[in-house]
Amino acid sequence: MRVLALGLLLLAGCAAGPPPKPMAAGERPQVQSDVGGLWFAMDKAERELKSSPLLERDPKLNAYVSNLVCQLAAEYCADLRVYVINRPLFNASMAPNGMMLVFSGLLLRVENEAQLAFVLGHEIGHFRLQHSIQQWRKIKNTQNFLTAFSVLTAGVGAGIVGLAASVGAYADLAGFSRGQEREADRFGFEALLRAGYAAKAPAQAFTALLQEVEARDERGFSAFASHPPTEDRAAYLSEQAALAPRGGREERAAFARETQRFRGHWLADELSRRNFAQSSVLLKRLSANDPSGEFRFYQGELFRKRGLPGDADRAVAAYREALKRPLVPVAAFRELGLLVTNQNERRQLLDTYLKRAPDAADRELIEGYLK
Amino acid sequence: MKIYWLLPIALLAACTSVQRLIPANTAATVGAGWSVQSNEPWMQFGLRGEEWWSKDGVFLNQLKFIGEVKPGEHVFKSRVANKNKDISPLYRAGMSTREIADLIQDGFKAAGFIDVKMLKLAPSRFRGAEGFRLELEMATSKGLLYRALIVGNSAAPVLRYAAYQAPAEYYYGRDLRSVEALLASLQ
Repeated sequence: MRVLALGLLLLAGCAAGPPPKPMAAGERPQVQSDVGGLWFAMDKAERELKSSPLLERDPKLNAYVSNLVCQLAAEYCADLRVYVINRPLFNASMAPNGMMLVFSGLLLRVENEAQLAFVLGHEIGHFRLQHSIQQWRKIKNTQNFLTAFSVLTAGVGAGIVGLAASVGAYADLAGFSRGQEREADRFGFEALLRAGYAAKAPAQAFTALLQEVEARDERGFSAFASHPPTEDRAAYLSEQAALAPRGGREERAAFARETQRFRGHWLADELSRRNFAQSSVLLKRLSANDPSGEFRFYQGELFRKRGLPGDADRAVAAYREALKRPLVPVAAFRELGLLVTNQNERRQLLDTYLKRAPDAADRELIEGYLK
Repeated sequence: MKIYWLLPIALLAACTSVQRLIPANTAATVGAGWSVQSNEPWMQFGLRGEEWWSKDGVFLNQLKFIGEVKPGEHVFKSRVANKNKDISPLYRAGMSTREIADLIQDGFKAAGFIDVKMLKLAPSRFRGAEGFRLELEMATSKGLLYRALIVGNSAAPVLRYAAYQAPAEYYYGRDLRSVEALLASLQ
Protein backbone atom coordinates (compact mmCIF):
# COMPACT_ATOMS: atom_id res chain seq x y z
CA MET A 1 0.00 0.00 0.00
CA ARG A 2 2.78 2.37 0.87
CA VAL A 3 4.49 1.60 -2.44
CA LEU A 4 1.25 2.31 -4.26
CA ALA A 5 0.77 5.49 -2.30
CA LEU A 6 4.30 6.55 -3.16
CA GLY A 7 3.64 5.84 -6.82
CA LEU A 8 0.52 7.93 -6.76
CA LEU A 9 2.29 10.74 -5.03
CA LEU A 10 4.96 10.67 -7.71
CA LEU A 11 2.27 10.67 -10.38
CA ALA A 12 0.59 13.51 -8.59
CA GLY A 13 3.78 15.46 -8.83
CA CYS A 14 3.67 15.19 -12.63
CA ALA A 15 0.41 17.07 -13.05
CA ALA A 16 -0.48 20.54 -12.05
CA GLY A 17 -3.87 21.96 -11.22
CA PRO A 18 -5.13 25.39 -10.33
CA PRO A 19 -5.64 26.00 -6.61
CA PRO A 20 -9.33 25.59 -5.78
CA LYS A 21 -11.46 28.59 -4.88
CA PRO A 22 -11.61 28.97 -1.11
CA MET A 23 -14.90 27.71 0.26
CA ALA A 24 -17.02 29.79 2.58
CA ALA A 25 -18.18 28.42 5.91
CA GLY A 26 -21.14 26.12 5.40
CA GLU A 27 -20.59 25.86 1.64
CA ARG A 28 -20.87 22.51 -0.11
CA PRO A 29 -19.58 21.87 -3.62
CA GLN A 30 -22.08 21.35 -6.41
CA VAL A 31 -22.95 17.67 -6.75
CA GLN A 32 -22.12 17.54 -10.45
CA SER A 33 -18.63 18.99 -9.96
CA ASP A 34 -15.52 16.85 -9.50
CA VAL A 35 -15.18 18.07 -5.94
CA GLY A 36 -18.84 17.24 -5.36
CA GLY A 37 -18.15 13.68 -6.50
CA LEU A 38 -15.27 13.40 -4.09
CA TRP A 39 -17.42 14.72 -1.24
CA PHE A 40 -20.11 12.19 -2.14
CA ALA A 41 -17.57 9.36 -1.78
CA MET A 42 -16.31 10.78 1.50
CA ASP A 43 -19.86 11.13 2.83
CA LYS A 44 -20.40 7.46 2.08
CA ALA A 45 -17.17 6.60 3.85
CA GLU A 46 -18.27 8.67 6.83
CA ARG A 47 -21.59 6.83 7.06
CA GLU A 48 -19.68 3.54 7.17
CA LEU A 49 -17.26 4.93 9.71
CA LYS A 50 -20.13 5.58 12.09
CA SER A 51 -20.68 1.85 12.54
CA SER A 52 -16.98 0.95 12.80
CA PRO A 53 -15.80 -0.82 15.96
CA LEU A 54 -12.68 1.34 15.77
CA LEU A 55 -14.63 4.40 16.87
CA GLU A 56 -14.22 5.58 20.44
CA ARG A 57 -17.80 6.36 21.39
CA ASP A 58 -17.26 7.94 24.79
CA PRO A 59 -19.40 11.10 24.53
CA LYS A 60 -17.29 13.13 26.96
CA LEU A 61 -14.01 12.49 25.15
CA ASN A 62 -15.57 13.14 21.75
CA ALA A 63 -17.14 16.34 23.03
CA TYR A 64 -13.79 17.46 24.43
CA VAL A 65 -11.90 16.97 21.16
CA SER A 66 -14.80 18.35 19.08
CA ASN A 67 -15.02 21.47 21.23
CA LEU A 68 -11.32 22.01 20.83
CA VAL A 69 -11.66 21.71 17.05
CA CYS A 70 -14.56 24.15 17.12
CA GLN A 71 -12.58 26.64 19.12
CA LEU A 72 -9.77 26.50 16.54
CA ALA A 73 -11.98 26.38 13.44
CA ALA A 74 -14.14 29.35 14.48
CA GLU A 75 -16.82 29.97 11.84
CA TYR A 76 -15.97 26.67 10.12
CA CYS A 77 -16.87 24.68 13.24
CA ALA A 78 -20.14 23.41 11.80
CA ASP A 79 -18.33 22.10 8.71
CA LEU A 80 -16.18 19.68 10.70
CA ARG A 81 -17.05 16.37 12.36
CA VAL A 82 -14.50 14.73 14.64
CA TYR A 83 -14.15 10.97 15.16
CA VAL A 84 -11.78 9.51 17.74
CA ILE A 85 -10.34 6.25 16.39
CA ASN A 86 -8.94 3.62 18.72
CA ARG A 87 -5.64 2.84 17.02
CA PRO A 88 -2.22 3.19 18.63
CA LEU A 89 -0.79 5.35 15.86
CA PHE A 90 0.35 8.95 15.97
CA ASN A 91 -2.04 10.22 13.37
CA ALA A 92 -4.89 12.51 12.51
CA SER A 93 -6.39 13.04 9.10
CA MET A 94 -8.79 15.36 7.40
CA ALA A 95 -11.08 14.38 4.56
CA PRO A 96 -12.22 17.07 2.13
CA ASN A 97 -15.85 16.83 3.31
CA GLY A 98 -14.93 17.82 6.87
CA MET A 99 -14.53 14.36 8.42
CA MET A 100 -11.62 14.54 10.83
CA LEU A 101 -10.10 11.37 12.30
CA VAL A 102 -8.11 11.68 15.51
CA PHE A 103 -6.22 8.54 16.49
CA SER A 104 -5.88 7.42 20.09
CA GLY A 105 -2.12 7.07 19.56
CA LEU A 106 -2.01 10.86 19.08
CA LEU A 107 -4.01 11.48 22.26
CA LEU A 108 -1.67 9.16 24.16
CA ARG A 109 1.42 10.96 22.93
CA VAL A 110 0.59 14.64 23.34
CA GLU A 111 1.19 15.94 26.83
CA ASN A 112 -1.18 18.88 26.98
CA GLU A 113 -4.05 20.58 25.23
CA ALA A 114 -1.78 23.06 23.47
CA GLN A 115 0.14 20.24 21.72
CA LEU A 116 -3.13 18.62 20.65
CA ALA A 117 -4.51 21.97 19.51
CA PHE A 118 -1.60 22.42 17.12
CA VAL A 119 -2.15 19.04 15.46
CA LEU A 120 -5.90 19.68 15.17
CA GLY A 121 -5.20 23.15 13.80
CA HIS A 122 -2.85 21.60 11.24
CA GLU A 123 -5.65 19.29 10.07
CA ILE A 124 -8.11 22.17 9.93
CA GLY A 125 -5.52 23.89 7.76
CA HIS A 126 -5.64 21.01 5.26
CA PHE A 127 -9.42 21.45 5.14
CA ARG A 128 -9.48 25.20 4.83
CA LEU A 129 -6.72 25.22 2.22
CA GLN A 130 -8.41 22.32 0.39
CA HIS A 131 -5.26 20.30 0.08
CA SER A 132 -7.11 17.03 -0.49
CA ILE A 133 -8.91 18.55 -3.42
CA GLN A 134 -5.70 19.87 -4.92
CA GLN A 135 -4.20 16.43 -4.53
CA TRP A 136 -7.28 14.78 -5.94
CA ARG A 137 -7.21 16.95 -9.04
CA LYS A 138 -3.57 16.18 -9.60
CA ILE A 139 -4.14 12.45 -9.32
CA LYS A 140 -7.26 12.65 -11.46
CA ASN A 141 -5.20 14.10 -14.28
CA THR A 142 -3.11 10.98 -14.49
CA GLN A 143 -3.88 7.82 -16.43
CA ASN A 144 -4.39 6.00 -13.12
CA PHE A 145 -7.60 7.77 -12.32
CA LEU A 146 -9.58 4.67 -11.36
CA THR A 147 -6.80 3.21 -9.28
CA ALA A 148 -6.32 6.54 -7.60
CA PHE A 149 -10.02 6.86 -6.89
CA SER A 150 -10.30 3.42 -5.35
CA VAL A 151 -7.23 3.89 -3.20
CA LEU A 152 -8.18 7.39 -2.16
CA THR A 153 -11.74 6.49 -1.23
CA ALA A 154 -10.68 3.24 0.42
CA GLY A 155 -8.13 5.28 2.25
CA VAL A 156 -10.67 7.27 4.15
CA GLY A 157 -12.85 4.35 4.70
CA ALA A 158 -15.16 3.58 1.80
CA GLY A 159 -15.41 -0.19 1.58
CA ILE A 160 -12.95 -0.93 4.32
CA VAL A 161 -13.68 2.01 6.48
CA GLY A 162 -11.98 2.21 9.79
CA LEU A 163 -8.97 0.15 9.01
CA ALA A 164 -6.11 2.08 10.41
CA ALA A 165 -3.78 1.02 7.67
CA SER A 166 -6.19 2.32 5.07
CA VAL A 167 -6.86 5.52 6.88
CA GLY A 168 -3.13 5.92 7.20
CA ALA A 169 -2.78 5.24 3.50
CA TYR A 170 -5.20 8.07 2.81
CA ALA A 171 -3.06 10.30 4.90
CA ASP A 172 -0.08 9.11 2.89
CA LEU A 173 -1.88 9.79 -0.33
CA ALA A 174 -3.43 12.99 0.71
CA GLY A 175 -0.22 13.24 2.72
CA PHE A 176 0.35 16.11 0.65
CA SER A 177 3.38 17.81 -0.65
CA ARG A 178 6.04 19.21 1.60
CA GLY A 179 4.74 22.67 0.77
CA GLN A 180 1.20 21.74 1.72
CA GLU A 181 2.38 20.28 5.01
CA ARG A 182 4.26 23.48 5.73
CA GLU A 183 1.17 25.53 4.87
CA ALA A 184 -0.91 23.42 7.24
CA ASP A 185 1.74 23.80 9.95
CA ARG A 186 1.62 27.56 9.50
CA PHE A 187 -2.17 27.52 9.66
CA GLY A 188 -2.13 25.31 12.78
CA PHE A 189 0.43 27.55 14.44
CA GLU A 190 -1.62 30.69 13.81
CA ALA A 191 -4.78 29.00 15.07
CA LEU A 192 -2.87 27.94 18.19
CA LEU A 193 -1.77 31.50 18.91
CA ARG A 194 -5.22 32.96 18.23
CA ALA A 195 -6.66 30.56 20.83
CA GLY A 196 -4.06 31.71 23.36
CA TYR A 197 -2.07 28.49 23.58
CA ALA A 198 1.67 28.37 24.24
CA ALA A 199 3.75 28.85 21.11
CA LYS A 200 6.41 26.45 22.40
CA ALA A 201 3.99 23.49 22.51
CA PRO A 202 4.24 22.29 18.87
CA ALA A 203 8.04 22.22 18.87
CA GLN A 204 8.04 20.35 22.20
CA ALA A 205 5.63 17.76 20.81
CA PHE A 206 7.57 17.17 17.62
CA THR A 207 10.95 17.12 19.31
CA ALA A 208 9.66 14.40 21.63
CA LEU A 209 8.19 12.51 18.71
CA LEU A 210 11.48 12.63 16.87
CA GLN A 211 13.04 10.61 19.66
CA GLU A 212 10.44 7.90 19.08
CA VAL A 213 10.95 7.94 15.34
CA GLU A 214 14.67 7.52 15.79
CA ALA A 215 14.02 4.46 17.94
CA ARG A 216 12.13 2.83 15.09
CA ASP A 217 13.56 -0.29 13.58
CA GLU A 218 13.75 0.22 9.84
CA ARG A 219 12.01 -3.06 9.15
CA GLY A 220 9.34 -2.35 11.72
CA PHE A 221 5.90 -0.88 11.40
CA SER A 222 6.06 2.68 12.56
CA ALA A 223 3.56 4.57 14.63
CA PHE A 224 4.27 7.46 12.31
CA ALA A 225 2.85 6.12 9.09
CA SER A 226 2.02 9.62 7.99
CA HIS A 227 2.99 13.12 9.02
CA PRO A 228 6.48 11.96 9.88
CA PRO A 229 8.00 14.36 12.35
CA THR A 230 11.18 15.39 10.61
CA GLU A 231 14.04 17.40 12.00
CA ASP A 232 13.07 20.09 9.52
CA ARG A 233 9.62 20.27 10.93
CA ALA A 234 10.73 20.39 14.55
CA ALA A 235 13.25 23.09 13.62
CA TYR A 236 10.59 25.11 11.78
CA LEU A 237 8.24 24.93 14.74
CA SER A 238 11.04 25.98 17.10
CA GLU A 239 11.79 28.98 14.88
CA GLN A 240 8.13 29.97 14.88
CA ALA A 241 7.98 29.67 18.66
CA ALA A 242 11.03 31.93 19.03
CA LEU A 243 9.31 34.60 16.93
CA ALA A 244 5.99 34.36 18.77
CA PRO A 245 5.03 36.02 22.04
CA ARG A 246 6.13 34.08 25.11
CA GLY A 247 3.67 32.58 27.51
CA GLY A 248 0.30 31.22 26.55
CA ARG A 249 -1.62 28.37 28.08
CA GLU A 250 -0.74 24.68 27.94
CA GLU A 251 -3.79 23.29 29.77
CA ARG A 252 -1.92 20.21 30.98
CA ALA A 253 -4.38 19.55 33.82
CA ALA A 254 -7.45 19.94 31.63
CA PHE A 255 -6.01 17.53 29.07
CA ALA A 256 -5.12 14.98 31.76
CA ARG A 257 -8.59 15.27 33.30
CA GLU A 258 -10.25 14.44 29.98
CA THR A 259 -7.94 11.67 28.83
CA GLN A 260 -6.55 9.98 31.96
CA ARG A 261 -9.24 7.34 32.20
CA PHE A 262 -8.40 6.09 28.70
CA ARG A 263 -4.65 5.92 29.26
CA GLY A 264 -4.53 2.32 30.44
CA HIS A 265 -6.44 1.11 27.40
CA TRP A 266 -4.29 3.19 25.04
CA LEU A 267 -1.06 2.01 26.66
CA ALA A 268 -2.15 -1.63 26.39
CA ASP A 269 -2.91 -1.05 22.69
CA GLU A 270 0.47 0.63 22.28
CA LEU A 271 2.29 -2.40 23.70
CA SER A 272 0.26 -4.73 21.48
CA ARG A 273 2.15 -3.22 18.53
CA ARG A 274 5.22 -4.94 19.95
CA ASN A 275 7.40 -2.14 18.68
CA PHE A 276 9.26 -2.11 21.96
CA ALA A 277 11.95 0.34 20.87
CA GLN A 278 9.39 3.09 20.24
CA SER A 279 7.17 2.20 23.18
CA SER A 280 10.13 2.29 25.53
CA VAL A 281 10.99 5.87 24.54
CA LEU A 282 7.35 6.87 24.83
CA LEU A 283 6.86 5.34 28.28
CA LYS A 284 10.05 6.88 29.59
CA ARG A 285 8.91 10.32 28.45
CA LEU A 286 5.34 10.05 29.69
CA SER A 287 6.31 8.61 33.07
CA ALA A 288 8.95 11.27 33.77
CA ASN A 289 6.50 13.74 35.30
CA ASP A 290 3.75 11.38 36.32
CA PRO A 291 3.52 10.11 39.88
CA SER A 292 0.98 7.39 39.16
CA GLY A 293 1.60 3.65 39.17
CA GLU A 294 0.02 3.27 35.75
CA PHE A 295 3.07 4.09 33.64
CA ARG A 296 5.33 1.97 35.88
CA PHE A 297 2.96 -0.95 35.43
CA TYR A 298 3.09 -0.61 31.64
CA GLN A 299 6.86 -0.31 31.77
CA GLY A 300 6.75 -3.67 33.54
CA GLU A 301 4.45 -4.97 30.83
CA LEU A 302 6.91 -3.82 28.17
CA PHE A 303 9.76 -5.73 29.82
CA ARG A 304 7.60 -8.82 30.31
CA LYS A 305 6.43 -8.84 26.69
CA ARG A 306 9.86 -8.05 25.26
CA GLY A 307 11.56 -10.89 27.11
CA LEU A 308 15.19 -9.92 26.57
CA PRO A 309 17.78 -11.23 29.02
CA GLY A 310 17.28 -9.36 32.30
CA ASP A 311 13.78 -8.17 31.37
CA ALA A 312 12.08 -10.42 33.94
CA ASP A 313 14.04 -8.68 36.72
CA ARG A 314 13.29 -5.30 35.18
CA ALA A 315 9.59 -6.18 35.05
CA VAL A 316 9.60 -7.22 38.71
CA ALA A 317 11.22 -3.90 39.70
CA ALA A 318 8.72 -1.91 37.62
CA TYR A 319 5.70 -3.78 39.04
CA ARG A 320 7.02 -3.30 42.59
CA GLU A 321 7.46 0.42 41.94
CA ALA A 322 3.97 0.62 40.43
CA LEU A 323 2.42 -0.99 43.50
CA LYS A 324 3.89 1.71 45.72
CA ARG A 325 2.03 4.40 43.77
CA PRO A 326 -1.59 5.46 43.24
CA LEU A 327 -3.68 4.50 40.22
CA VAL A 328 -2.05 1.13 39.70
CA PRO A 329 -3.97 -1.38 37.56
CA VAL A 330 -5.08 -4.45 39.51
CA ALA A 331 -3.24 -6.65 36.99
CA ALA A 332 0.03 -5.49 38.62
CA PHE A 333 -0.67 -7.87 41.51
CA ARG A 334 -1.11 -10.76 39.09
CA GLU A 335 1.92 -10.03 36.95
CA LEU A 336 4.22 -9.55 39.92
CA GLY A 337 2.72 -12.64 41.56
CA LEU A 338 3.52 -14.73 38.49
CA LEU A 339 7.13 -13.55 38.43
CA VAL A 340 8.28 -13.62 42.06
CA THR A 341 9.96 -16.74 43.38
CA ASN A 342 8.97 -16.41 47.04
CA GLN A 343 5.92 -18.66 47.38
CA ASN A 344 4.34 -16.70 50.25
CA GLU A 345 4.63 -13.43 48.40
CA ARG A 346 3.35 -15.07 45.22
CA ARG A 347 0.29 -16.43 47.04
CA GLN A 348 -0.42 -13.09 48.70
CA LEU A 349 -0.20 -11.17 45.42
CA LEU A 350 -2.38 -13.60 43.46
CA ASP A 351 -4.92 -13.68 46.30
CA THR A 352 -5.07 -9.89 46.24
CA TYR A 353 -5.55 -9.94 42.47
CA LEU A 354 -8.50 -12.33 42.73
CA LYS A 355 -10.08 -10.35 45.55
CA ARG A 356 -9.81 -7.10 43.61
CA ALA A 357 -10.87 -8.62 40.29
CA PRO A 358 -13.57 -11.12 41.23
CA ASP A 359 -14.81 -11.41 37.64
CA ALA A 360 -11.36 -11.80 36.09
CA ALA A 361 -11.42 -13.82 32.85
CA ASP A 362 -8.36 -15.76 34.01
CA ARG A 363 -9.72 -16.53 37.48
CA GLU A 364 -9.68 -20.31 36.99
CA LEU A 365 -6.07 -20.23 35.83
CA ILE A 366 -4.92 -18.12 38.78
CA GLU A 367 -6.90 -20.25 41.23
CA GLY A 368 -5.10 -23.24 39.74
CA TYR A 369 -1.75 -21.65 40.64
CA LEU A 370 -2.92 -21.19 44.22
CA LYS A 371 -3.85 -24.84 44.78
CA MET B 1 -7.62 -6.53 7.87
CA LYS B 2 -3.99 -7.00 7.09
CA ILE B 3 -3.12 -8.64 3.84
CA TYR B 4 -1.26 -11.57 5.38
CA TRP B 5 -4.42 -12.69 7.11
CA LEU B 6 -6.49 -12.61 3.94
CA LEU B 7 -3.86 -13.96 1.60
CA PRO B 8 -4.01 -17.63 2.66
CA ILE B 9 -7.79 -17.51 2.49
CA ALA B 10 -7.73 -15.95 -0.94
CA LEU B 11 -5.19 -18.49 -2.09
CA LEU B 12 -7.28 -21.29 -0.63
CA ALA B 13 -10.09 -20.34 -2.93
CA ALA B 14 -7.75 -20.78 -5.87
CA CYS B 15 -6.29 -24.07 -4.68
CA THR B 16 -9.33 -26.31 -4.80
CA SER B 17 -7.20 -29.36 -5.49
CA VAL B 18 -5.94 -29.40 -1.90
CA GLN B 19 -9.34 -29.66 -0.28
CA ARG B 20 -11.01 -32.92 0.65
CA LEU B 21 -14.01 -34.07 2.60
CA ILE B 22 -13.51 -35.57 6.04
CA PRO B 23 -16.63 -37.68 6.57
CA ALA B 24 -18.27 -37.96 9.99
CA ASN B 25 -16.95 -40.56 12.42
CA THR B 26 -13.62 -40.82 10.68
CA ALA B 27 -10.15 -40.90 12.17
CA ALA B 28 -8.05 -38.33 10.34
CA THR B 29 -4.45 -37.26 10.56
CA VAL B 30 -3.92 -33.52 10.52
CA GLY B 31 -0.89 -31.65 9.29
CA ALA B 32 0.62 -31.43 12.72
CA GLY B 33 0.84 -35.24 12.73
CA TRP B 34 -1.94 -35.50 15.26
CA SER B 35 -4.85 -37.89 14.92
CA VAL B 36 -8.37 -36.64 15.39
CA GLN B 37 -11.82 -38.19 15.32
CA SER B 38 -14.28 -36.20 13.22
CA ASN B 39 -17.81 -36.37 14.55
CA GLU B 40 -19.35 -34.43 11.68
CA PRO B 41 -18.36 -33.88 8.06
CA TRP B 42 -15.69 -31.20 7.60
CA MET B 43 -13.83 -29.90 4.60
CA GLN B 44 -10.06 -29.99 4.94
CA PHE B 45 -8.01 -27.34 3.16
CA GLY B 46 -4.27 -27.36 2.92
CA LEU B 47 -1.79 -24.88 1.66
CA ARG B 48 1.98 -25.05 1.92
CA GLY B 49 1.98 -27.08 5.09
CA GLU B 50 -0.82 -25.12 6.76
CA GLU B 51 -4.20 -26.69 7.27
CA TRP B 52 -7.74 -25.47 7.95
CA TRP B 53 -10.95 -27.34 8.51
CA SER B 54 -14.25 -25.68 7.77
CA LYS B 55 -17.89 -26.60 7.32
CA ASP B 56 -19.30 -23.55 5.61
CA GLY B 57 -16.21 -21.68 4.37
CA VAL B 58 -13.27 -20.26 6.24
CA PHE B 59 -14.96 -16.93 6.94
CA LEU B 60 -17.84 -18.70 8.68
CA ASN B 61 -15.99 -21.35 10.63
CA GLN B 62 -12.36 -22.21 10.74
CA LEU B 63 -10.56 -24.86 12.72
CA LYS B 64 -6.81 -24.73 12.59
CA PHE B 65 -4.36 -27.27 13.97
CA ILE B 66 -1.30 -25.14 14.54
CA GLY B 67 0.98 -27.97 15.59
CA GLU B 68 4.33 -27.00 17.02
CA VAL B 69 5.37 -23.38 17.36
CA LYS B 70 9.10 -23.26 18.01
CA PRO B 71 10.88 -20.47 19.89
CA GLY B 72 11.33 -17.47 17.61
CA GLU B 73 8.39 -18.40 15.39
CA HIS B 74 5.27 -16.28 14.90
CA VAL B 75 2.55 -17.49 17.24
CA PHE B 76 0.35 -18.26 14.19
CA LYS B 77 3.34 -19.71 12.32
CA SER B 78 2.69 -16.97 9.77
CA ARG B 79 5.50 -16.83 7.26
CA VAL B 80 4.74 -13.36 5.93
CA ALA B 81 4.52 -11.83 9.39
CA ASN B 82 7.81 -13.48 10.29
CA LYS B 83 9.55 -10.94 8.06
CA ASN B 84 8.83 -8.31 10.71
CA LYS B 85 10.49 -10.27 13.47
CA ASP B 86 11.13 -7.26 15.66
CA ILE B 87 7.46 -6.42 15.99
CA SER B 88 5.74 -9.76 15.39
CA PRO B 89 4.19 -11.75 18.23
CA LEU B 90 6.89 -14.39 18.52
CA TYR B 91 6.79 -17.36 20.83
CA ARG B 92 9.55 -17.73 23.42
CA ALA B 93 10.43 -20.87 25.32
CA GLY B 94 9.35 -20.68 28.95
CA MET B 95 6.36 -18.40 28.41
CA SER B 96 3.66 -18.85 31.03
CA THR B 97 0.10 -19.68 30.02
CA ARG B 98 -0.83 -16.09 30.82
CA GLU B 99 1.85 -14.81 28.46
CA ILE B 100 0.85 -17.23 25.71
CA ALA B 101 -2.73 -15.96 25.97
CA ASP B 102 -1.40 -12.41 25.71
CA LEU B 103 0.69 -13.36 22.69
CA ILE B 104 -2.23 -14.99 20.88
CA GLN B 105 -4.37 -11.89 21.51
CA ASP B 106 -1.63 -9.69 20.08
CA GLY B 107 -1.49 -12.05 17.09
CA PHE B 108 -5.18 -11.51 16.38
CA LYS B 109 -4.74 -7.74 16.77
CA ALA B 110 -1.81 -7.77 14.38
CA ALA B 111 -3.96 -9.73 11.94
CA GLY B 112 -6.46 -6.85 11.90
CA PHE B 113 -9.02 -7.85 14.50
CA ILE B 114 -10.30 -5.12 16.81
CA ASP B 115 -11.33 -5.11 20.46
CA VAL B 116 -9.77 -8.50 21.13
CA LYS B 117 -11.09 -9.46 24.57
CA MET B 118 -10.29 -12.44 26.73
CA LEU B 119 -13.49 -14.10 27.90
CA LYS B 120 -11.90 -17.01 29.71
CA LEU B 121 -8.51 -18.53 30.42
CA ALA B 122 -8.51 -21.77 32.36
CA PRO B 123 -6.45 -24.91 32.82
CA SER B 124 -7.54 -27.72 30.52
CA ARG B 125 -6.29 -31.03 29.15
CA PHE B 126 -4.77 -31.05 25.67
CA ARG B 127 -3.74 -34.26 23.95
CA GLY B 128 -3.58 -36.05 27.28
CA ALA B 129 -1.42 -33.47 29.01
CA GLU B 130 -1.96 -30.38 31.13
CA GLY B 131 -2.76 -27.38 29.01
CA PHE B 132 -5.01 -24.39 28.67
CA ARG B 133 -8.32 -23.27 27.23
CA LEU B 134 -8.58 -19.69 26.00
CA GLU B 135 -11.79 -18.06 24.80
CA LEU B 136 -11.70 -14.74 22.95
CA GLU B 137 -14.10 -12.28 21.43
CA MET B 138 -13.12 -9.82 18.71
CA ALA B 139 -14.50 -7.79 15.85
CA THR B 140 -13.52 -7.38 12.24
CA SER B 141 -12.94 -3.87 10.91
CA LYS B 142 -16.53 -3.90 9.63
CA GLY B 143 -17.85 -4.76 13.05
CA LEU B 144 -18.63 -8.45 12.60
CA LEU B 145 -18.17 -10.07 15.99
CA TYR B 146 -16.14 -13.29 16.10
CA ARG B 147 -15.42 -15.70 18.92
CA ALA B 148 -12.46 -18.02 19.15
CA LEU B 149 -11.58 -21.06 21.21
CA ILE B 150 -7.92 -21.99 21.55
CA VAL B 151 -6.75 -25.13 23.31
CA GLY B 152 -3.15 -26.13 23.70
CA ASN B 153 -0.16 -26.60 25.90
CA SER B 154 3.39 -25.48 26.18
CA ALA B 155 5.97 -28.13 26.84
CA ALA B 156 9.54 -26.90 26.60
CA PRO B 157 10.55 -25.73 24.20
CA VAL B 158 7.48 -25.71 21.95
CA LEU B 159 3.88 -24.46 22.00
CA ARG B 160 1.19 -26.71 20.56
CA TYR B 161 -2.38 -25.62 20.00
CA ALA B 162 -5.49 -25.74 17.90
CA ALA B 163 -7.83 -22.81 17.28
CA TYR B 164 -11.45 -22.56 16.27
CA GLN B 165 -13.04 -19.28 15.22
CA ALA B 166 -16.43 -18.32 13.84
CA PRO B 167 -18.83 -15.37 13.83
CA ALA B 168 -20.31 -15.02 17.31
CA GLU B 169 -23.80 -14.87 15.93
CA TYR B 170 -25.11 -18.36 15.08
CA TYR B 171 -22.02 -20.15 13.74
CA TYR B 172 -19.80 -20.21 16.84
CA GLY B 173 -22.49 -21.50 19.16
CA ARG B 174 -23.91 -23.91 16.61
CA ASP B 175 -20.69 -25.91 16.34
CA LEU B 176 -19.06 -25.31 19.71
CA ARG B 177 -20.04 -28.63 21.33
CA SER B 178 -19.05 -30.54 18.23
CA VAL B 179 -15.70 -28.72 18.01
CA GLU B 180 -14.99 -29.29 21.71
CA ALA B 181 -15.60 -33.02 21.26
CA LEU B 182 -13.38 -33.06 18.20
CA LEU B 183 -10.58 -31.21 20.02
CA ALA B 184 -10.92 -33.56 22.98
CA SER B 185 -10.25 -36.47 20.60
CA LEU B 186 -6.88 -35.06 19.50
CA GLN B 187 -4.04 -37.49 20.10
